[in-house]
Parts: sequence; C-alpha cells; structure tokens
Amino acid sequence: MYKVTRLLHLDDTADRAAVLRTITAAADSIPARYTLVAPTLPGARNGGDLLVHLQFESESEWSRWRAPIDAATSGSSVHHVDAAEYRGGSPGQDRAGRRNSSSPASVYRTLLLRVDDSASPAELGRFEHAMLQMPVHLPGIRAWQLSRVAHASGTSAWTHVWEQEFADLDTLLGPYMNHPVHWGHVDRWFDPECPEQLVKDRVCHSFCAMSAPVITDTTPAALSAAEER
Amino acid sequence: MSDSTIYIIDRIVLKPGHARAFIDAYLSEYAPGARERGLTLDRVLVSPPAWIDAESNVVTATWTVEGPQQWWAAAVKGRHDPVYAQWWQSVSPMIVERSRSMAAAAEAVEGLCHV
Repeated sequence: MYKVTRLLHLDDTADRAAVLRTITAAADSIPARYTLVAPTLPGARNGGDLLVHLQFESESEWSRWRAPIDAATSGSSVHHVDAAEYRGGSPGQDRAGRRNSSSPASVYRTLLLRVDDSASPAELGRFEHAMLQMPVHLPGIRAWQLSRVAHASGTSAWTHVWEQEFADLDTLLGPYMNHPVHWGHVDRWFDPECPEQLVKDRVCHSFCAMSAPVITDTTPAALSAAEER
Repeated sequence: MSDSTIYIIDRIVLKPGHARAFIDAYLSEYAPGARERGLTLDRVLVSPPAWIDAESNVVTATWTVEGPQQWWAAAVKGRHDPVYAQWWQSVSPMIVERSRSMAAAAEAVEGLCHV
C-alpha cells in the first residue's frame, strides 16, 4: 500500500471547518483505498491542525489522482505542510502488527521524524528495533507500523513514519508516554543529551479521531499471551 | 526516595588529568540549568577516588525526578534548547566516552511498568 500523510498547519484566521470540507470533498472525489481527513486532537505537538492520510494501491495510482489533493492542501488558509509518502512497513515484513482485541481503536497517531544522515546502518537498525518493541509492552497500541519515507516535504526531510492506532486518547497520553520502555529506552535516540541521539530535528507528533482501522496492511502480530493483555 | 523515583545517570570517562576540571564545569555550568528543569542532583561519584597522573577517572552523576510526568516535563524543557547539547559539545575535548541512562530501584520496576 502506498501511503500519503499531510499535516496541515492553518492560518490563525482560517475557517477550519471550510478547509476540512474542501479537503474531504477532494479526497472523496478520487478512488483512494483509504481516506482519513480530521482535525488533530489537543495534545498534538507540531502536529498541525488537520491530519490528512490517504492510501493507494501504488505510487503510480497516487500520481494519477493527486491533483485534487494537492490543490485542496495548498489553499491560502494553509501556511505550512509537513508531508511524507511511503510504502507501509517497508522494507521489512516485520515492521507492522495488529493486536487481537474485541474493542475498536479510536485514535490514530502518526509521528514524522528524521534520522540524521550520520547514523550508521547498525545504529539505524537498533533504533528501529527499539521502536518496534513498544507495542510489545503497551497493550493499548492496537496496531502499529514503522515505515521508511519515500518522499518528504516540510520542515525536515522526514525519514520515518511511526503510526499507531490507540484504544483511546487516554492510552496515548497516559500509558504510552509513561511506560519505561518509552522514556527509559526509546527516548535516548531523541534526546539531545544522549550520545545515541539520532533524531535531531523536531518531530511531528500528530493524532486524530478515527472511525475505522487505518493500518490495515498487516496481520495479527505474533505476540505472546502475556503480551496480549 | 519513593517507588516512583527515576534516576538519570551520566557516566563520563575523562581523559587523564581532566576529571577535576570537568566536575567543576559540570557543577557550575551544567547543574544550575538541570535544576531549573526540575532535576535534583543526588550525587556525583568519582572512580577511582584519587587524582592519579596518566589515569582516567570515571565520573558518575545521578539526578532524580519523581515519576514519568516530571521526567517528561524536564525532558521537554531541554529538548528544544540547544544550550544543553552545546554544553556537552564544549566539554567533549575532556571526554573519552560517556553515556546517559535511566534507572529505577529494582523493586519499583513492576510499578513503573504497570501504567
């Protein structure tokens, strides 16, 4: 699946509802495999005002249908866009998962980040492995996917997209942030005071409400019974 | 210390003859800003506890915060302020290698993971 994420920062005077309607209409006018256009929720950091996420069968399909989206996301009310295009989960097949759960997820979160050019393949591998350990420890993450970016624009040349579906907003802002695997392990790659820091630019931490699964190009993860809490 | 105490541990291997100068700089230049961010300096240890010519000293500085929320509050204050990374860069000529790690009391691990 070829995925397109755009985080739109609107002017203070923008009619947000009107911009939302315009982009939704544009998304509805094309045969995307999946469409999510929604206001970001309180607590997002550098995550924009609107989150636009589209999925296509291929990059060529996106190229064929992108014109209405380009037009709708570049209106005069939009003063900045951080964007990433990527093949979900690429390049490995172990970079995504979905936890078996009877209750649906209600929050979609995406993190755009740029790994510094100086990172060695080994360092990059350790970083990606650590990121993918988080769902093992956090049952509130219902689905996840770590992808390398094919095309990026905005404040940084984003290299990775880290997506999750959460049970609810409290799970994202509470257990996800407070678990030691986050602040005691993974954060070292983001901390400018840690020698391991690889992510040196400010990240885009954005999330919104969702009504249907977003990360669909995955299968139930092979988590142990203990991890399926 | 409570069950939610988090320890932030700087371990610095100094080049021979530089440990005292590094500790002076750490306490006078780095520590005030760290305290402003909400960190509490627990202790600064030196190993071996002697100034021996041509030998490295290892300095271990331990800071504490109470719980993940205070940890994040301190982290966010420093995350986008280039002063801290610049300070570490300024003292890098004295350093052979260093690490920063997070820790907690062994008996606190289960509680911290039960979020």
